[in-house]
Amino acid sequence: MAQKKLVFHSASGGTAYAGFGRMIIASLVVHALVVVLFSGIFVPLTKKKDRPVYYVDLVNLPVERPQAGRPDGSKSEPAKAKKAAPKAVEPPKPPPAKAAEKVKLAPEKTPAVKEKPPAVKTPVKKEAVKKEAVKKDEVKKKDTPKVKPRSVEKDYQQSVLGAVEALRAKKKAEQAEIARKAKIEALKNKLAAMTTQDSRSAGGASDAPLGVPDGRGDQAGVSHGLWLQTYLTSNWSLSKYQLSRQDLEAEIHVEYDREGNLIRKRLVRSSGDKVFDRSVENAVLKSSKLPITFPQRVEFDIIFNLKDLPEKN
Amino acid sequence: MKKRNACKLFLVMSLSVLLCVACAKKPATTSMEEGYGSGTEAAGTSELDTPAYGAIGESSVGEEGAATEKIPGMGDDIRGLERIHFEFDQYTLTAEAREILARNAQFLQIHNTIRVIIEGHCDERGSDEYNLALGERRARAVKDYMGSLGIPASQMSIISYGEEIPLDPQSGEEAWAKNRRADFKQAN
Amino acid sequence: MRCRLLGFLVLLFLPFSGFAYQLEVRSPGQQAIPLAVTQFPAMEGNPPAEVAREFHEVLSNDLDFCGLFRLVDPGAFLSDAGRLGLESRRVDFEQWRTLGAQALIKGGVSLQGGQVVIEARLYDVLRRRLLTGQRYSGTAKDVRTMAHAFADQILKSMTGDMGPFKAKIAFISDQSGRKELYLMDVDGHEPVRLTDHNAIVLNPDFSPYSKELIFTSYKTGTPDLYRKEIYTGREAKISSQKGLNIAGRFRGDGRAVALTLSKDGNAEIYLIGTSGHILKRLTRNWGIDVDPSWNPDGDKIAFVSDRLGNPHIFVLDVFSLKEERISFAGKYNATPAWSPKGDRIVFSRLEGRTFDLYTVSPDGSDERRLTFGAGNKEHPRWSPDGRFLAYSSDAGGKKAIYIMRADGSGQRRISSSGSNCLHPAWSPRW
Repeated sequence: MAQKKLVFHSASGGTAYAGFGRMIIASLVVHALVVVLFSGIFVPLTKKKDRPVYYVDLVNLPVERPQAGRPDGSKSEPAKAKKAAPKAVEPPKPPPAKAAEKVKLAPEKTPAVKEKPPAVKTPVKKEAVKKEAVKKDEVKKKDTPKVKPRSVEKDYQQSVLGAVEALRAKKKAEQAEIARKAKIEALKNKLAAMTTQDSRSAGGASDAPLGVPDGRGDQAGVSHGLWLQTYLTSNWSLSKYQLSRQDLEAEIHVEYDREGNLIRKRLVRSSGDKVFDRSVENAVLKSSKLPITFPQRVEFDIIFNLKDLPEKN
Repeated sequence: MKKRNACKLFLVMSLSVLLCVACAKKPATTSMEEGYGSGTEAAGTSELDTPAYGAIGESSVGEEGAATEKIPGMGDDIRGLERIHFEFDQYTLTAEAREILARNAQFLQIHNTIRVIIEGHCDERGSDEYNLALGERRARAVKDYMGSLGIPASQMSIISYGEEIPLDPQSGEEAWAKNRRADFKQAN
Repeated sequence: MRCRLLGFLVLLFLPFSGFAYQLEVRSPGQQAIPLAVTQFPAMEGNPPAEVAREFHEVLSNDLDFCGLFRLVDPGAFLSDAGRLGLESRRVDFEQWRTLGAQALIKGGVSLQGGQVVIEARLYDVLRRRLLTGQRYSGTAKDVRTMAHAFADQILKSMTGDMGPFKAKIAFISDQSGRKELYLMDVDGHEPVRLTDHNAIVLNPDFSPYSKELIFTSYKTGTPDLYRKEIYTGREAKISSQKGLNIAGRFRGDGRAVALTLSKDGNAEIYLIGTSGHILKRLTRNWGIDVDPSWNPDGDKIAFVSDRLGNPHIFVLDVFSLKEERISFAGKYNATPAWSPKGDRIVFSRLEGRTFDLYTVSPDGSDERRLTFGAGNKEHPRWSPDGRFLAYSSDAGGKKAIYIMRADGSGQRRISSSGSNCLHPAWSPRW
């Protein structure tokens, strides 16, 4: 609708009124603002509910200032990961070897890719190899803390890298080789993404530090909220055979004291389905005495829904 | 002795009539009826007025086996009328079926006092109710074709048994092909 | 302008900067309810141990089948399992909570003047509360029925919708050498023969209210429609039009029957009254029209027609007679059955060399396959609550009656082997 309107105005307005041009510009600006608001920058807002699912190991108790990392990272690994992180920032001296080592994480596709790079790299200057390696590490650095690298971001990174690469290539006029390099680059990016995904599905075997994705603290561990979310999930029992529909959602407000005792619970928003509401309240009841403590008395608004339940047949 | 001879003579005569009438084109088809050997003795004692037919009694023993005994309301086979077969989920008459029906029609024209029930049958695959309807279509297709050959509608009636009375209770292409058929039975 | 925009942005952010932390729990961690089913101890009158054992077995079997529960291993039960205390204040809920049970079934058996009395209760372990309690009495023969009845009550308590276990399943068996009509429990026990037609009996359907069945029989030589009162055994022929009188299905109000007649020379679907008089002809087509199935409102039927060459499923509006095709794949689609809730139609489709069961939305969208593997699965029928399906399968050689959940899980054979069993029909909840 909006687009149609715009086209119409610009076609007729040019000749008719002088003030009309400003109106069009204003309208364009407003429309552009709307587009900007709802496309790029504020995507996180609109996609808020599509956060990835984390499985917190309930053995790992929550901490007050969780560091950046993954909630399913194993406890022994943060130290290792911390060491690995600075290393990556340094200009890597033995890049090809390291690349091969890391690539090994992806079990099946390694041989094919491993064979290719040397074939290409030998004719290229040493510097190019180095830079490539650095870039690759950058990609990894960016990827590891994020649990689910968004494909948009990946594409963006790839395109930027591709552009820089192309500029350099023009200088040296080695077009053919660059094309091949770009291909390899893309493959490596994919591989890097795959390795992170692989480690994700393998659960605790991740080499990411234990933490939360948006963590800014310095403690290895997850936030209280993430921990409680997992605790409630494990205490919530509801069979799909109890449900008439799957688009149910209820919200419960709960308050815990510092010792982790439930002191208040209130159904803020009913799902409209008695059985669902009861199961949700049962989950909270089951979580009335938490094995953790809080820094102070806390309140949570907990939304229960079935978004991750496999589709009912 | 004399009685025996007379009997034999009667038998030979009746058989020759059969050959001439029903199997004029392809005498070899008589082999189909060989299974009904026990019927020959009954021929003499048949209460039916046409000697060439009615030689049946428990005719179903040969092919149909114990599993498909005669059920109430179901007629007896008529010797001299051959069954025909159909393709899967089809009720159109094959060229072979038409040939057979032409012979059957000749037979019924000669023995115009015989009233027949044409039974439509299906193989076991598919919905039982759909098969009842399909069986009826098969029987009706036969009746219509016989009608076009000059057999009066009053001499024929139809019934469908769907997949309920297989000739061969096995599962498999061979059995299914046998079971998709139209039979001619004597009306009571 | 800029100020306003800023204000707008602030407004946008406000709802997300609440005082309480927001959490979202997106699926239950346990997708079955942990349930403990105890063996009922004797209360008074020294009842035979067999009674408690049978009740427990039948009940556990039903509850296991419905897929809702994860039965807690009885081997882990603690002292409260054997204790009689039935009032909720006398039950040691903490024990059950330790075992992870969220629901608990306790009860007791007595013998009072030759009558078996079973008291059965379902508790909510977390809330320490009685959810449902029932008292059943009857002869020792009725114990299975009591257990089925209690299973139905439990489903009602846990889902709000009564279970279908106390109902019966009618079916056709050739056990006697002829196809006759039988009736059995939902778990396949207690089969009883209902007809002695010594002919071919086919395709039963239950009246929605009175305890009677309609079916087709060749009793007098032709396929006619009969009705039979189950307990009096009274029987009458209600439709004997020339040709076929088959696949009769009661409308939801029990006052009319849709069936296939071929009196005009072609198989068409008609609406008849329960005494057999024709009310309306519903299809008018050169093709075979057969196997009607009513929607719960009684204004539409699903049926099979080969008008397009191969048998496909159609939906027909009984008033406007407008028809709509809803199956588009496969060369042979048959025996549709409309779910009691009206949301799905189950049918059988020939795919490759075997028939398998599918469901589809009444508008033809969202088709899903339910069964896989060996055997032809045919003649599906819904349980009265729409939770389960009964059907026949020849996976084991001969045809047998199976039941499963409506999503295709939990398949189990319920009819005994040795004879062909087919054409199941699940009775209403009596």
